[in-house]
Amino acid sequence: MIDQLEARTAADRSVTTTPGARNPTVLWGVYAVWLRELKRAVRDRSQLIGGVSRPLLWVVILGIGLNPYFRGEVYGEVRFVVPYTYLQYIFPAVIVLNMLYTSVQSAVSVVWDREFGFLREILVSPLPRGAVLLGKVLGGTTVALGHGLIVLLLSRFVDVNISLARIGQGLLFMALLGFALTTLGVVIANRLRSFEGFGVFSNLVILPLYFLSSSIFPMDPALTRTQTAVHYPDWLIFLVHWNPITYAVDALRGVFIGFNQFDPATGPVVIGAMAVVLFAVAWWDFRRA
Amino acid sequence: MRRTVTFIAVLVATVLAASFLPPDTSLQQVKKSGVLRVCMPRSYPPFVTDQGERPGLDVEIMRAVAQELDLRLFIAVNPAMGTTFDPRRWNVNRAQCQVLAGGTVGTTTTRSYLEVSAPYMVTGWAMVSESDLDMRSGTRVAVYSTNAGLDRLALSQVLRDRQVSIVVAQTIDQAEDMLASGAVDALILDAVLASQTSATHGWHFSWVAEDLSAFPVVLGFWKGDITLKRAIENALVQLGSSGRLDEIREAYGLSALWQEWRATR
Repeated sequence: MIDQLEARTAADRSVTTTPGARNPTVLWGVYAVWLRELKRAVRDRSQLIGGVSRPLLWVVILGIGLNPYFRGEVYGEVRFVVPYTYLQYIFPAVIVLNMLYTSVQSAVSVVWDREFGFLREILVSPLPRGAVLLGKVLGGTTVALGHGLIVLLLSRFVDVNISLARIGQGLLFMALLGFALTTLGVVIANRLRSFEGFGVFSNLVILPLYFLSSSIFPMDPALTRTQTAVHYPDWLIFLVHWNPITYAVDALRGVFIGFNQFDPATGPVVIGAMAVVLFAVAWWDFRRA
Repeated sequence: MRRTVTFIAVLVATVLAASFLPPDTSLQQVKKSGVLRVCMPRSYPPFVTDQGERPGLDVEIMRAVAQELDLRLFIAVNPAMGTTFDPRRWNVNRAQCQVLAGGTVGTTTTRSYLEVSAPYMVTGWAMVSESDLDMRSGTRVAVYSTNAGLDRLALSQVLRDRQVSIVVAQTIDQAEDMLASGAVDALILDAVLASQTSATHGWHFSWVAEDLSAFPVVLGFWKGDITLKRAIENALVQLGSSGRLDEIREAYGLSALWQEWRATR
């Protein structure tokens, strides 16, 4: 299939002589790179198993394991003052975690392609480098979106009812987040030379971003900053507030469980800004490559 | 390709199968004991009354729910419920009951402490007057408030902003006497009580303010008791489909209020 597409792209290129007719060729090129990323991800069983095991471990095992510690015993007294259960609280965060892993790890194909010379072949093709990057990022975004959807299958388990309208809004945020995170992976991959280095470094990025995103413990919105500082040290609050993933998790919480810790507009703005800035950095790197 | 599709299908089926696992043991424990324990205030008409024939909307609904689930109903009366702002003072705990009923309002504050069911009734702050009345400076109102779930602070803010003269009534009878005698121009009550009072006396019913109306009346569950909540919600759906819930609402003269609210959603 890829061969056919590449042949078709080449055929399109050969007949495309006028600048005005160039766009369809570029689109075919983006499509070919996107499809290659998608096929690579679908054939990578370890990635697929990871995409399923993470929600099962985090929601079904950890969520249920910790649920009794956050349940109510006396009316008016709870340890966890948010209008949702612990399971519901971590549910949107696990969507982000699954997408975070998938998006960043999908950029390993950049290292892989560079190692085996495929990237060089693409970069010397007439296809603009921006189009190559876009194809790769869109491929990673699609795969990440799929892994985010796997978590949504557990919505019944955590007792979250999601309407079609909310699924639409959620998919939009998730797609934008997947785009931003895949670009982050590409930016990392552009700076690393080996698979091993990428694996270690991506974990160094993913896990702190996740744990510092108010994903598994709440920064109680009912408390002022001073009151929050009684429960958590200042440095932790600082890191959580400066972590962009905090606002991505918050945006998905707003969509799926109707609970926003921050201004509801902040999440989409931060995700959008991440996507634009990181794509610009990745593009700059690709042009210099 | 076929093997890849099969592999993905198996993974998706695994996640879907996991979503059907029971997330807690709350329903299992209730079924094991055969008794559904519900905490309610001693009296909060029309949700809980001391009349044998009409014991209250929530009492009848909970009886029907217990019957639907094939359980015996035990009502744990808690005289402190609804008497103060702070629910901690009511000392309602998990050892006493699995469900809280009796005019529980599904506000964000309530949901911070309890899981709540889908609404089966609606309430809010309503005004009862002899005729259509525009509440403004100098209007004399009697406030009778028993439902701790409704936002009393927001009500007092609205009444202060409109510069009305406020008297607090101790009982619903006292409040009705005040309006009937002309001592006040209007009563401020929760909508469920206001609906009944206005129907009984032929008085005029209106909402105090847009943002103080239409709060859902719900059943409360302890946080984390998802399986019990799910079972009771299913029972409520069954009772709704069979028309039993409508019959109970009708018996308390609350169908019109419910239908009006449903129509706006």
